[in-house]
Amino acid sequence: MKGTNLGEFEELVLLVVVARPEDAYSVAIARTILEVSNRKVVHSVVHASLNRLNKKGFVTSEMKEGTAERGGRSKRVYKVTAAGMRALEDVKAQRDKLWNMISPAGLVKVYG
Amino acid sequence: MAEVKNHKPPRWADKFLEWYCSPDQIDDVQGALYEYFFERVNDGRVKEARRMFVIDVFTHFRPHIIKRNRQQYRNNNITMLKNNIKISVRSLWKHKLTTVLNVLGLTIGISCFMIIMIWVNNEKSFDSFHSKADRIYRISNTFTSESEQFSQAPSGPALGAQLHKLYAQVENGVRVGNNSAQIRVGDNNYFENNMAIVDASFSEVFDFKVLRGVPSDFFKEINSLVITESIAKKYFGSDDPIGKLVTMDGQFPMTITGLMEDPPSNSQIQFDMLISMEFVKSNWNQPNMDDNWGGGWFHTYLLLEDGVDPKVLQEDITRFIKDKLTWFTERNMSYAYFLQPIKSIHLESNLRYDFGNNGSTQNVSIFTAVAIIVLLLACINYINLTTANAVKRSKEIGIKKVMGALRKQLFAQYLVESVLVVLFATALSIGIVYLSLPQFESFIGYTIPFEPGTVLIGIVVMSVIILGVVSGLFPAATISSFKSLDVMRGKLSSGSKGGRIRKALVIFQFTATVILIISIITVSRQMNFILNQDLGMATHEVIAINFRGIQEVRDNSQVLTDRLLENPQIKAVSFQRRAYPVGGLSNGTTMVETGDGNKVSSSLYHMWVDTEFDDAFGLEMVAGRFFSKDFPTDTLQAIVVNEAAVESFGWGQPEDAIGKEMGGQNVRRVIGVVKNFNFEGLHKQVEALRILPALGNNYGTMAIRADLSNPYDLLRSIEDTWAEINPTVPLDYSFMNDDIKDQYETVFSFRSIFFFFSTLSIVIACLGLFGLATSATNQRIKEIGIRKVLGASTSGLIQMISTDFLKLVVLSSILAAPIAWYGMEEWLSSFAYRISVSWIYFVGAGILAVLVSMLTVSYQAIRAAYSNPTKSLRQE
Repeated sequence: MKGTNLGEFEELVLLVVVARPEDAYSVAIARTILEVSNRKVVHSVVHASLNRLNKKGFVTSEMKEGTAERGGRSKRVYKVTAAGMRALEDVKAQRDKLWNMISPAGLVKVYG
Repeated sequence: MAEVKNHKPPRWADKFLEWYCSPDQIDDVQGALYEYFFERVNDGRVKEARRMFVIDVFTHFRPHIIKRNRQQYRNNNITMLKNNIKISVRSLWKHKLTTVLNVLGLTIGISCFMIIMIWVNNEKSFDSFHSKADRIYRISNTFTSESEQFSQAPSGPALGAQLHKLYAQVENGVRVGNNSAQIRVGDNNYFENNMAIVDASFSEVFDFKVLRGVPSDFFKEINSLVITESIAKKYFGSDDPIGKLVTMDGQFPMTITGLMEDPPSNSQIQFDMLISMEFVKSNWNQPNMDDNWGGGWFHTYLLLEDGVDPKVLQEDITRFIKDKLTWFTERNMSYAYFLQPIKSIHLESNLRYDFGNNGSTQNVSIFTAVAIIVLLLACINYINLTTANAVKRSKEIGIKKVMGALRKQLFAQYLVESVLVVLFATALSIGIVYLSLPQFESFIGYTIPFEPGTVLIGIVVMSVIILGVVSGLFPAATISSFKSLDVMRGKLSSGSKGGRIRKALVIFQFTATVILIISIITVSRQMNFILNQDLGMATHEVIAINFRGIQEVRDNSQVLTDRLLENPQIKAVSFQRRAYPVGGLSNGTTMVETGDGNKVSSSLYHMWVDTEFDDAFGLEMVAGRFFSKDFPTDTLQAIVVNEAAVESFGWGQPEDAIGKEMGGQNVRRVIGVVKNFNFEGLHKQVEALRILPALGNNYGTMAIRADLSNPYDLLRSIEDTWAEINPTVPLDYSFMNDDIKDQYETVFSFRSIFFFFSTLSIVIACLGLFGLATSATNQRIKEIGIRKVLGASTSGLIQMISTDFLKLVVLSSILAAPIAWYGMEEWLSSFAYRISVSWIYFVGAGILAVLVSMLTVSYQAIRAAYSNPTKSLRQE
């Protein structure tokens, strides 16, 4: 299901949108990702994945008035949709399921 | 902050971003990049900021934010076009009646247009197949004597023989004469009426296709004959004709040296076989022919050098020849020569002894006008029906507009629809034209080359697509301009949109129709008038026999006459020098004593006939007597003239003409005056004519006057007698009435074509009216229902609906009258014998138009008036 699949980076971006709704535009999202994961992301990558999320229907967007540091240009502010929320929850549920499958002994064995 | 503001991201990168980024993304992206840029500048990393800005601009260059380029827009349009076509097909299917009327009207219109244009194209293409056509001119002349003036196509033989040797401007010259011959192949005898006498330069000037033989060697031997393919087939079947021997006119052995393709139908020079001028010179006893500058012998064509001004050259030639023709000049007679471009001759030349297959500019323009009118009518039909029908579709348009359709898009959709209809009609028309062209050819009497895929068809198809756009433009504009709010409220009524223009178009349509009806009436009256015109001869009783002066028949003329007269059905037998009448009379110069006793030069028509001619053709004498066997001196001293001659020489009363002198060296005296009889066809006035006695050894044709009530027995008896007395000569006879009809062949084919296309255009106009009436009544169906409920009578309703249309038709008739009157007067002026345009034609045409439109409209009116009001009022 390519259309609704959530890529790793997309998941990250979407999580930021959910976590920081007040700062959910491309530059701020990139900044947050930098803060959280210490990953230096290029703006175009963030922008592209936001576009993809939009296409998949996980986010909606709205143009907001720009600030002086943007040279007056307005910005696109994103908001998660119900479908986006569900996708995040699905991913989390899958991960949890897998985490739960791992017995503490197994963990030791792997590292051992 | 002020310091920050002084820095700006690299302009070129910024521009590049603006160029490629799609409009709905640019603010977001550009803003973000500015944000980074100024953040870095704030941190003091100006260089890095600039560098990163450029990198960002480039890394953003990805498909999802790139502005949709033109290629992609086109793809989008193709999708829209597909959608438009789909919707168009559906709506055309839904409104079947309108669609059928539209396609029918357009198909008829386009077919007519195409056929007429193919014909016009063919008429205009005459003689342009010669590769040197632009430089080929025919030299013709205007002869002037003291008593008359006329222009003729043929000129003296010296012109074609010598001009190209005398003038540097003339590259080559060729003479073309027409003759008939009797050809014997083995035991079979054939009469050939279409033998051309040509110079050896024939193939150098003209480009008639040679199939076998070498053109330059065609006439190396004097007794050579070149034949066409169809003659070769007739004589020899599939055998190779080259080198075959045939006998011409019973005495000349001729070798076939060449095989030509049949001349194309769009050639003024038509021939079945060719013999050379040299042959004529030596066998017609004309050794000095090439030095004879006067008269009208052969059609003479000159091939001019590049850039020669024909106007200047013709003046030179006229002056030069005047000096040569001292005999004429002394008698106050002169020739003025003029050069006619070969390509213009077919349509523009109308001279004495011109080619029989000549067309006329008038006919070409009449038919072009008819073609355009028919096409225009079809267009108007389409426009009217579509706009009228648009009201039905107003809800569709309203919804589309509400859903956000732009006017442009609706416009495109209706345009697509009309182009679709026109394309369909065109495809049908091409099929119809292809199938009906043979019929049309038999109609007009000659073939028109038609190859689909020629430039012609390309032009037609192009113009038809343009047609689709033109006829679709107005409906599309009207329909797409509907206001969605009005549409939804049901405010739109039939009259509101383009009603006035529609009315104007209907008026135009019916004006054209009434004009055509008036033309049909006038043309058919004129034709009947011509046919029933008294030629002054008993043509209905005459059988003409052409034996082409074969000596055997001449020798047996007396026996033949006696034997034929034994048959009680036969009243008279007469011999003449050449086939008379109608048409093809030659003329010659002479001196004539006028009414006041002077002698003037003149050139008038002449014929040589025997003493029985007046009986055989039923001529009436108004004064004096005809030639008689009782007066042996007649053969040398007598001459008979017609009434026209009496008038043109100012002799006063016919009785006063008796005894007047005519002739130069051999003076003859007038012994009688015959009542005018028409020997040149009825588009020409009867001109002065002298009738001379023919000597027995000059006979070439004969005429039998007989009671034709039982033609079968009569012909069998004639055939038997002929075969008995002249066993080796084929009997070539014709009924004179048929010959006369053949004279009017072109006029008749003109009539048939004109009638056919006019009728079609009337049909188209009626189709349009029918469609309009249908949609008008449909729109008023509720009104009619309410009127019925309130007590309106059926007849009153029918009247109400019909009056609207009748008003338009009556107005059209009034508009049509003056135009038709002018046009018909113009057309009739080309006939010497003509009817005058009567007001009855106009009234008749008007009544006819009203009747036809009543019939068309009344069906709808009656249907609406009788409809049940509960049905029409139930909804809403």
